[in-house]
Amino acid sequence: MKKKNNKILSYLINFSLILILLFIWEQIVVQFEIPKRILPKPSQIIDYLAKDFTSGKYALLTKTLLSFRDALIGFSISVFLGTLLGIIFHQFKILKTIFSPFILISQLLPVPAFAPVVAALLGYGFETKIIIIVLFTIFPVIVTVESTISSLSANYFALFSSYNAKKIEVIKKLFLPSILPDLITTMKILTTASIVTSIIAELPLTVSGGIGKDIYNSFNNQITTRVWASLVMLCTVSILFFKSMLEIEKTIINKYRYAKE
Amino acid sequence: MQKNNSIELKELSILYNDLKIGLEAVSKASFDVKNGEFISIVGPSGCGKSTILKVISDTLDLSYSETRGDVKVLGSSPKIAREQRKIGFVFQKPTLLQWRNLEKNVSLPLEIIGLNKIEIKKRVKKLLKMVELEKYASYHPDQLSGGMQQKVSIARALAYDPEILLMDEPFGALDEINRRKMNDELLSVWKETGKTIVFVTHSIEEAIYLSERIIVLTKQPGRIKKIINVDLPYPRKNELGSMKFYKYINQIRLLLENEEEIV
Ligand SMILES: Nc1ncnc2c1ncn2[C@@H]1O[C@H](COP(=O)(O)OP(=O)(O)O)[C@@H](O)[C@H]1O
Ligand SMILES: [Mg+2]
Repeated sequence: MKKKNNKILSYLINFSLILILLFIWEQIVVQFEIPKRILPKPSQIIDYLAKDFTSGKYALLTKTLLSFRDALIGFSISVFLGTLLGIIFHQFKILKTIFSPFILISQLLPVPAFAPVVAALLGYGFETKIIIIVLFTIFPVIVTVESTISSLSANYFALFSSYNAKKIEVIKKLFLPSILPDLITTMKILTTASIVTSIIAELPLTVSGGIGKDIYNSFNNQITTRVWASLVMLCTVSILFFKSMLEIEKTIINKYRYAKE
Repeated sequence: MQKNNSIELKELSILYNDLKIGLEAVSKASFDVKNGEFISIVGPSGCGKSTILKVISDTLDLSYSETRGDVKVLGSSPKIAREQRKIGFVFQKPTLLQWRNLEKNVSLPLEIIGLNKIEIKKRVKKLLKMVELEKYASYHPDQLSGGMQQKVSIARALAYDPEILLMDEPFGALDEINRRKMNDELLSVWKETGKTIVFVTHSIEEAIYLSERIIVLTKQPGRIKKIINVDLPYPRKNELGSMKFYKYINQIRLLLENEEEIV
């Protein structure tokens, strides 16, 4: 009970803090007469969002959700394909040796910045966008999966071997459940990464309807309030995505009683 | 191969070659294990006890080891015995799957074998009863003591009814009192199932308490120093303080200590 009260209290404090900051922001803009195209007032941003919703067009919402959808597609492909590749890399160490340098390099490169180059190579459409997201998010998955399986005690392998278990059984009953906690931790990090990539990848591409492109256009036309409003939407979606991963993590860790660290 | 032998080792040598210099872990070890026998292997740590069990169970990684000599398990090669699931293994650590409850841990090998659900339930129930854990069927490993976890891993090894049980210092991590309790429970499992048990331990007392015969190994590379018949009636609770029991302890201790002196 006490714990719950504490939680409510901390929410209240957070909320008040945000309100205070917004108020200060509002006052600064008013006092210093900062023009709207440089920094709009919070009230103007809220107003803008409200209009978008009440007009029934939901333009910003639709665009944000579209960018999010693509992020989610790329993210899912990364998780599935990355897990598969991680298992294959564990199975065939030679592949790991061959690909490790490339994986390392790709981890160091800011892949989203390469979007224009990739687009020039692969075209300017939807597939390219997804490929860029996958390229940016798949390697941490592969590395997590491979290293978690490699760190399993040799006794587990001996155990399954003494059952004469088929490889697919080992994957289903040992590998997948073992990697789950670490994989989810990686997935949490990749929520934001996939959204960021989705936004940035939109700029050089011709795929339309995303919030990234909208932000870019609004910015060029000095509709700063719309840029801010878009960012608010984007942050909200990003936070919700992350929070839902947190919830999934909590549920799985509790249900299967994975050792809590 | 003699008909009443479960395991036969002839001049078994095992070499690890994953290091720069090869390491001979076991050297020319020969011994037989009779059907239904309880035999222990004792020896200083690093003398190759675990390695011998790995060879018998065909779980030694051949990519960095080399085996010479001949090993027969139930009349065929260890590989065939493993593929026919004739061998159950119990490790020093319980090696349970933490995301499965006890029932599911014991049923793991049965699921892999492909037994139907009803049969699995029946068997698991019986096994958990045998190790007196039926009340804890829905508990997860992290909710149990080390001794209880080890009992689960014994039940799991017995689940598919292997003919041979290999145990690698299974109670090494337990305190004295729990270890004795587990020893008694293991003996009753042995009586009930008639399995052949090869039991590795570094406790001389435990070996004498449990086994019909004891194989004493030298330090690395492990060679067979002596095989001792333990001529004491079961149950050995009453023998614990006896002169005879003490003599066995002394005999084995001397065998192990002499080894140190030579070097
Ligand atoms: N994978 C390995 N590579 C190289 N040497 C090993 C390996 N596993 C065990 N050894 C060595 O082989 C010897 C016997 O090991 P082991 O059978 O585990 O001994 P014990 O179980 O009697 O303590 C030890 O000296 C150990 O260091
Ligand atoms: Mg050992």
